[in-house]
Amino acid sequence: MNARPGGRVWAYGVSTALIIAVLLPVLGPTSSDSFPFSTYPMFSGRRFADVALPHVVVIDAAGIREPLPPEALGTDEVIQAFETVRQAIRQGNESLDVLCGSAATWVAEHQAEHAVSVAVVTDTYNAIRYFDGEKEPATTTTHAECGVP
Amino acid sequence: MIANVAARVDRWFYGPAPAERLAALRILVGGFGVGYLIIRWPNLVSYATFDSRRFEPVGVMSLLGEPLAGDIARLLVAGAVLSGVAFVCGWRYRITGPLFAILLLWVLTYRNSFGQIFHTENLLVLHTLVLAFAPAADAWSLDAHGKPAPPPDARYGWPIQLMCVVTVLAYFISGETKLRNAGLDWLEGDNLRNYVAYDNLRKAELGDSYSPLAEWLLPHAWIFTPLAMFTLVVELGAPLALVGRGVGRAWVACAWLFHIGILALMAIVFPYPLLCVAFAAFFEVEKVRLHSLSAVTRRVRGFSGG
Repeated sequence: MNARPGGRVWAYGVSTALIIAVLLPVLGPTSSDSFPFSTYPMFSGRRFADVALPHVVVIDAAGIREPLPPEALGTDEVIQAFETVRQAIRQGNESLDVLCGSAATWVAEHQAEHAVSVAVVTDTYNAIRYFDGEKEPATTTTHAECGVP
Repeated sequence: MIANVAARVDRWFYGPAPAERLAALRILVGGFGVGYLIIRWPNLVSYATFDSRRFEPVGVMSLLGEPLAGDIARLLVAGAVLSGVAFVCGWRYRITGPLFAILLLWVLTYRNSFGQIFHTENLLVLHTLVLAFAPAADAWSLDAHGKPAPPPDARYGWPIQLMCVVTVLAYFISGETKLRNAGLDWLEGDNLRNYVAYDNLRKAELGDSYSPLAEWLLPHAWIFTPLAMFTLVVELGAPLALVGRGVGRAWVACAWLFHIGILALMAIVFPYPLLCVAFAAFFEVEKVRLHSLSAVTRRVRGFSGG
């Protein structure tokens, strides 16, 4: 037995430590997530068809809304964009104003032609019926709205 | 009895393996890591510009009270790429191995510390950590250049088994969390159907592309019950992959199909398992190289002879 890298003591020591670290999150609440040790809670809970979806939309002069792409929120990851909006809503007015302002600046630089304003909203939908053609939200809550410069 | 079980576990876990197999895993996992860092470079450095209010540290980032200065964050990504190249080449591995693993852990944890944890990267980091603290550069490396190939040994075997154990645990925990959060209701297809619909709706309403296959399948609710069952069987059945080589490979095939399903229905890419790098430890990967080389040689000979 020896403790040099590759030796038996080293092998069992390193392996035991890593396996315990991987298993440890299981002892905690399933909602707590971390990296790289995780309970992998995404898609694990009960999900209903009626959902509330926070997102950012651009509004034109006729009042028609279009969702903004993740790039308008400073990322190329759609899930990161979603969390960015959720974070801003959670943090309150100051963060919402910053997010709305930066999205409006992005719109001014990239697709300003008919854009009048940008809004951070939470829409409710039935996710199943959405893909059956029911694309309009059942309700809309506006958290922040700002003009396109 | 206990001694017998311990001896069997020891024979399985601490059995000999060729140095070339561990080296091949170092090249595959390290190569994937470097490629991933380079391809995701714009995304990884974008976090350097994020508002500090968005910083929600997880894992090792909990050591930081606030986000890093932008230039330091960018330098760490560059350092991870450079040390990753040394890791793949097996150059001064005793230093560059752990250095790459730590920098990869740091850079990816940093990216995961802004409100969203990406579960696509956990296994990459865990496998790299295992390889970094094992003698994975005793063959097919600059460090081993000019030295005779070492004989098969247990010191090359245990890291490979540990990579397999970590892989199956990740899937098992994912399934266990589903059972803890939703119970057997998760087996009813409605839950999975709602998740698929929700995830695609989220993509559509956040200006991204979504799965056309999901749009086509969502009206057919019955399809989602067998898919939910398959998901839980793959996840909770993962430990069976350690029982034997055949079962292990069958599980790998199912797990790979599971990720194909996620890609097709939710447009979520898990590149590490989709490219099979996550499952490479279940195979004699060093022979893939030899088989491919000998096949190429045979073809070249056949071509020149004919």
